[in-house]
Amino acid sequence: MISYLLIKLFSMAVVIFSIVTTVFILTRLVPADPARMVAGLEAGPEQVAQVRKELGLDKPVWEQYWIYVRNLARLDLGNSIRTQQPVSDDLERFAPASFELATLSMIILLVLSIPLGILTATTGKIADSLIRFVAILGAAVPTFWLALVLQIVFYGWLRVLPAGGRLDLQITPPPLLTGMYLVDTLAAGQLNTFLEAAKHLILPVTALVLGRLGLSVRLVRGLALEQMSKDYVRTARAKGLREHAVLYKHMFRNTLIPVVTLFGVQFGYLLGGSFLVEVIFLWPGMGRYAVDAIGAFDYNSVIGVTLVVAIYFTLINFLLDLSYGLLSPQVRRG
Amino acid sequence: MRPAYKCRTYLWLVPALLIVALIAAGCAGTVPAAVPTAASMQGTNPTTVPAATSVPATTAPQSASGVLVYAAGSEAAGLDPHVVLSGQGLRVFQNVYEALGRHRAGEKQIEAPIEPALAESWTKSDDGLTYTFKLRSGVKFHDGTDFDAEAVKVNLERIRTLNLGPASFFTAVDTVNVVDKSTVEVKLKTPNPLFEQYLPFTFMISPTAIKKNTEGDDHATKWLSTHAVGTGPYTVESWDKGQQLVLAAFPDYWGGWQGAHIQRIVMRVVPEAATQRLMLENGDAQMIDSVVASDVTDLSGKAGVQVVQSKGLRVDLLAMNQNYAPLADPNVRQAIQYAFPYDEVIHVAYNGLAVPAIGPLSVDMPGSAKGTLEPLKQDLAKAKELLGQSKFPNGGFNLRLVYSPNLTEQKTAGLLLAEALKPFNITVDVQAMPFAQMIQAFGTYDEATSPHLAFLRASPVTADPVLVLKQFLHSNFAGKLWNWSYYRNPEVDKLLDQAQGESNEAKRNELTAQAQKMAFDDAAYVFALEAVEADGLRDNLKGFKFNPFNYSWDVYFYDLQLQ
Repeated sequence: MISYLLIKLFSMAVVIFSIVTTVFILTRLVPADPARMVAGLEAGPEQVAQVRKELGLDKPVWEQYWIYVRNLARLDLGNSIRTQQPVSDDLERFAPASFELATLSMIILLVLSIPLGILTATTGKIADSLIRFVAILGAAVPTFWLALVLQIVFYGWLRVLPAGGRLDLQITPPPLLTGMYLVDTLAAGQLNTFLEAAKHLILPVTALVLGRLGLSVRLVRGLALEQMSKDYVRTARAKGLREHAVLYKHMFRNTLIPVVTLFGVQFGYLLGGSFLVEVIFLWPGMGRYAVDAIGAFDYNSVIGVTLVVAIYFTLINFLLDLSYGLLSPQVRRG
Repeated sequence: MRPAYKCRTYLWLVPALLIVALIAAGCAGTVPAAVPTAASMQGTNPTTVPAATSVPATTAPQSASGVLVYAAGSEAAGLDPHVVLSGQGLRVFQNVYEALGRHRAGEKQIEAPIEPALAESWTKSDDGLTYTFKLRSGVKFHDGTDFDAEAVKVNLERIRTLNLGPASFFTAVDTVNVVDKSTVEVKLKTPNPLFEQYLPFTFMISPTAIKKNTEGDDHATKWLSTHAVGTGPYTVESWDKGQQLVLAAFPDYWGGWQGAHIQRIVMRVVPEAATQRLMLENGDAQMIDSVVASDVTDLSGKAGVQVVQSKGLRVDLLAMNQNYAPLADPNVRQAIQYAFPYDEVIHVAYNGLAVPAIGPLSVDMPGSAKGTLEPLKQDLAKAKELLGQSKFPNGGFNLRLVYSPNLTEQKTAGLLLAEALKPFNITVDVQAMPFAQMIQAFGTYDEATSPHLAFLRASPVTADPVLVLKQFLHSNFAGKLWNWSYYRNPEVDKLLDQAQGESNEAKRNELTAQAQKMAFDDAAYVFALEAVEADGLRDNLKGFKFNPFNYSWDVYFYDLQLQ
């Protein structure tokens, strides 16, 4: 088990390092002059040159890369070119909001799609076609558009839900623990603030989940159908077990292993999708931060965001790997 | 076996129920939670958002009341007014900091654009080299420090030492001398008749705060990027980056709080124009900064909403990169100038929120070519004739036109131009390109990749017409600043250099008009149109005055009232 863990951790490190390198090269490939943006739109050429020097952007790219990696080894992500503040400070502020949104959506997606998938696999045609219809609809509608429609209906017309943000303006955020308000409010025992935070999560989470739900249900359905044709299911039925028991006692766990793998990938989509949803729902997450950073060619911030997303993504997948290590003993030796 | 199986079967129900309960609770919580009262606000735990100023919380001034929610597309990158000058930053600086002079809002704002602020008055020596400022007395910074001549010296020197943001306005400054506590003398190296126009950028930061928070040789830039200690009517109460910045009334403001003023301003970041619009309609925002042209008519008809349309000073023009052989031919440029579908662009792309232009300067700016030039109309026959006289009589070349991804009107205008040039066998590829990348792409020319056409917004920061004209037309700025056409005409250079040193306004205006006539005849750019700006407000917000300088970002919240 320990060697399995070590191998996994090592491969995680390799993946993350490759991502940093790739993004570093990509950002430098695009012809742009961030120094010009920093110096201000009215700045003269000498001012721009001075800023470029101060930012170290006048050095050759390989040297910039070497400096970056050296700092990274000391867990220093550098300063944002735009704000001159450490990127890590910015990420500390914005990352938890994105993770809260993506993780909650992921949980809800799992909780909804597994039973729905099994249901469509085992029940009659009508339920199946209905869910399939919703599935295709969800996959066909862009998340961005769906988010706008949800906002217009529930905020603009019905006025039952807030336009966006994480909390109402007048409400004080909970004391900082994880940065995820649902967790932090519960830890602090602030039930009202918890409800308020939950209320603000409804629309963005719905937009994210609806966008991916159809596909996930179809995936689970396919996997469940595959399991149903297996011998052990026939045996279970033959020995007279109730259908219920066959489904949930025998099939459930076997279906779960590939589902978990697939959801690891889904999580990436959720994080990516949440970037778009964040813009609409005023969600102060990394999405908007990244969009602004890319617009200004704020190299360090862009790499910082990518790095944090990569770490979180590989970490979630690592946990999922572990979980099917637990679900299926063979994997541990694999 | 059996109990275990039962337990596992229903295990998935637990999180499902939890989520359902959570959603239900969230919905149920709507009614009480949506209207937090002042009492409930005070009841919550101490804030984790650090107060951005070191000023202790004081009681609110009595006559100031109300909260203004201002929804803005983006926020300030930092709060140090000597480091970054950007629209969103200025909107904060102008209310937290004050400068020696400020842009006049309302009447006479273009004829006499500067009014006194921290300087009560000033005089200029006959040789134009020495300005003497008489400072307002009884002014305090937010941290209690007195504002005096020494503070002016410290700040002007900080601007020049940092050499960022506003520093380019003050390159002519030689020395700053303290005459007495309320008099300061600024000596220039060379006379600049338009020096006064830059006074609104001399934002004054408390010298005590600068001294106290300096780390190494950073001149307190790190601390001041998130804190603000000025003399303005508002202090920065909190800044939750990416979400909101809250301004609160400064009780000891020298202007006092008699009369109606707004107590707090919540500057909320709302990137989507559609969301801003919803918030304005629902009354959750009293002021928004992005009114889409196509929304203006519809939004004006909504109850409780007013859309203020103001003709500003912004000119949108099309740069034509002369590094590209076809565009180096003046006949080709003139042909494009005549083929440009002015009317269609104004009505289709800008929804009528624009008028034709004649040069980089708006007709309302001093020094414009008004009276010398008339706006062009599309004339395809003339365009054909001009192209026939060029080295490319049958067209046969491609033009890459780039636009900022967030400016859809530029995209539409580009497509309309592409349509208009098609009959001449000229292909226009319209592509989106982030602004930072455009700057680079026009700065260094690459035959294979560089764009040839781009829309630029010429928006005067100050009322200095020569500054704008030089940035767009002077050969010194070819490829730098905004001369993306690489327009080079020694005679235009000469006229502009002369104009810069000319202290007689009538003479100066003649020189600038002449330079613009030449640039127009040379088809340096397609001077497409002058934009009309639209601001969305709730109708209970009074006192709003449009100000065309600073890229139209000037708003003094102290002058507004909520009814």
